[in-house]
Amino acid sequence: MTDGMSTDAPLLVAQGLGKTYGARIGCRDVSLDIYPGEVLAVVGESGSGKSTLLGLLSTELAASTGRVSYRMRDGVLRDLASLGAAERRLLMRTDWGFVRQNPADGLRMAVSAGGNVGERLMAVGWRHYGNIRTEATDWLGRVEIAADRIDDDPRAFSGGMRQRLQIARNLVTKPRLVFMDEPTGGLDVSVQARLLDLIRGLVSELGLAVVIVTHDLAVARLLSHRMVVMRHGRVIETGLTDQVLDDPREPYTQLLVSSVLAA
Amino acid sequence: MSTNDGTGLPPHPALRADLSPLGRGEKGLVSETGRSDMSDQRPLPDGERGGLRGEGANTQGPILSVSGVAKTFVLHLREGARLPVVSGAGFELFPGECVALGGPSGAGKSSLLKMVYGNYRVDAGHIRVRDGEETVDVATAAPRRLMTLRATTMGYVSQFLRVIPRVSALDVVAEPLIGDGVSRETALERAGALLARLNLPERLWSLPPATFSGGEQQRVNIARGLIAHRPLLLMDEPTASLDAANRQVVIGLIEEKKRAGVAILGIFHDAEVREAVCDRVIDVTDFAKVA
Repeated sequence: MTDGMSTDAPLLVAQGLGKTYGARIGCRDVSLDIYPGEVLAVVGESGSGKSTLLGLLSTELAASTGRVSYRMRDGVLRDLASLGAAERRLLMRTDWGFVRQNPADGLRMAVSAGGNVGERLMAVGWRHYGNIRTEATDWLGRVEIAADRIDDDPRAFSGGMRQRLQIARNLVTKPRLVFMDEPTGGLDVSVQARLLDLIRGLVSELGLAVVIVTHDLAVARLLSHRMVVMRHGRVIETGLTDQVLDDPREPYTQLLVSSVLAA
Repeated sequence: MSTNDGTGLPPHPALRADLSPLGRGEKGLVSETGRSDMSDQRPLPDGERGGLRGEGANTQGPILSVSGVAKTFVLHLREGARLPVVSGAGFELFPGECVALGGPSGAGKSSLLKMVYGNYRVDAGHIRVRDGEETVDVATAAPRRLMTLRATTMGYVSQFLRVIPRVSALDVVAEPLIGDGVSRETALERAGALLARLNLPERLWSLPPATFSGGEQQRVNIARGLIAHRPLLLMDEPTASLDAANRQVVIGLIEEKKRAGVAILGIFHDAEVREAVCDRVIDVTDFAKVA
C-alpha cells in the first residue's frame, strides 16, 4: 500500500510457531500471514495463548519452534531470527509499534508527553528540536490531546489520555505494523469508544497492518478484517471477522460468541 | 485499488427522485428457481423502462451463479443439534435485473443472502461471482479475496444499521466512497445529497445515528449501501421501517441502480416495493431442506 509495495505480498509470515514454558504449552503450531493494511484480531479467553502469540510475532519472546519472517522496507522477506539484536531493535523502534494494555508499560512515565513522542523521532534520526516539537504537537492533536499538555508528563494524564499518548508515540514514525495487546482493556466504556474511533480512523488513514489481541468481540468486530480464535495455545478457527462472529463453527467459538451480553 | 470511479449514482438527473409509477403490474411475478434460460428477461445495461425486457440484452452472462449450495447449522451448545437451512440451492442473476428471494419466514432467505455475501459459510456447492475478468467462488475463496470482492464488486444492505460510536451519519454514508478513493470532500457532498433525497433532516447529519429512530437508521443504512457503485447488490428488507414516501424514494434508487446495470438480489416483504422493482421471484422453499 505504501512504498509501492504490492498488497498481495504478506508483510509478516509466521510458520509453525510454538512456545513452551517448561512442560506448559503457551502456544503451538501457529501459522499465519499478515498483509499490508489489514487488521487481524486474535481472540480467545485468558490463558488461550493470545498474548504469547503476540510476544512471538513481535520477537519479544523467543520461539521454541517455528519462525517469523518480515518483509523489510527493501521488499525482502527476512527471517527475524537472522537479524542482529541492533537490527531488531531498530525495526521495533521505527517500522513497528507496540501498544500495550497498560500505558505505563509502553510510555516513559517520567518524561513529558512531547518527549514520549519525540523520542521515537530521535530514534529515526530527527535532530532539529523545533521540528521534533512541531511534529509531536501535531501528533498530540491527532490523538486529541491539547497542545498545552505537551510539557506535562503522563503521570498527570487520565487512563484514556495515557493510552492515546501511547498511540501517538507508536505511530509518529509511521510504522507499517503495529501490535496491540488489549488496547482498550481497563478503560471506561465512553473512553473506550473514543479510543476505538481514533484507532479505527488512524489505521485506515495510515494503511497500517495491525495484530490486535483482545478478548472483547465487539472491539474485534469494529476494528478487524480477519480473525483468529485461539484455545489451549492453538488456532482453532480463522476467517473474515463477520464470518467467524456470525457463523461460528467450532464449539468453543460458538460458546465465546454466545457468551457475550447484548447491550 | 479499484478502477471504478466510485460513482454510486448517475450524477445529476439522479438527484431528482423519480416518482413516476413504473407500470410493472403486467409482468406478474413468476416464481422460478432461475435455472431456466432467462435471456429474454434481461434488460439492457443502460436500462429500458417500464419492464420491457428487450432482445439483445447483455451477452456477458450472469454476474452471480449459485449451484448446489447446502448449509446446515450445527449447534454445539445444544448437543450438536442440526438446523438445515437449504440444500441444492441454485439460480443465476444477471446485470440490470432485480430478483426477490421469496418464501415464508424461516425458509432460509436471509441465510442464503448471507451465504452469497460470504457472511455465512456453506457446506457444499458454488457461489460464483464475476469480478471483472475473474470469477470468484465465494464458497471457497480465501478471506482476503472476499475482502477485495466486497470492496469492489459486491455490496450488502443489511436490515439494520450497525452503529459505530462517535461516527456521524454523514461519515457513515460517505465511508464506502472514501474507501473507493473518492476525495473526502466529494464523498461528503454526495452523502449529503443522498441523505437529503432520503428525507433525513439535515440537523441529523452530523450526529452519530445511535439515537435515531428505526426508520432514520434504515435510511442511513440504505444510503451507505447504495452510495458507491457495486455491480452486485444484496438487500435484506431495505424498506421494512420506512413510510410510504421514503419507500418511493428507495424504489427510485433501486430503479436507477438497475438502469446502471447493477444486479440486485434481495428480500422484499413489502408487496408494493417488490412489484415495483423485482423482475422475478426465486422461491427459496424449492431448495428442499435435507438434514
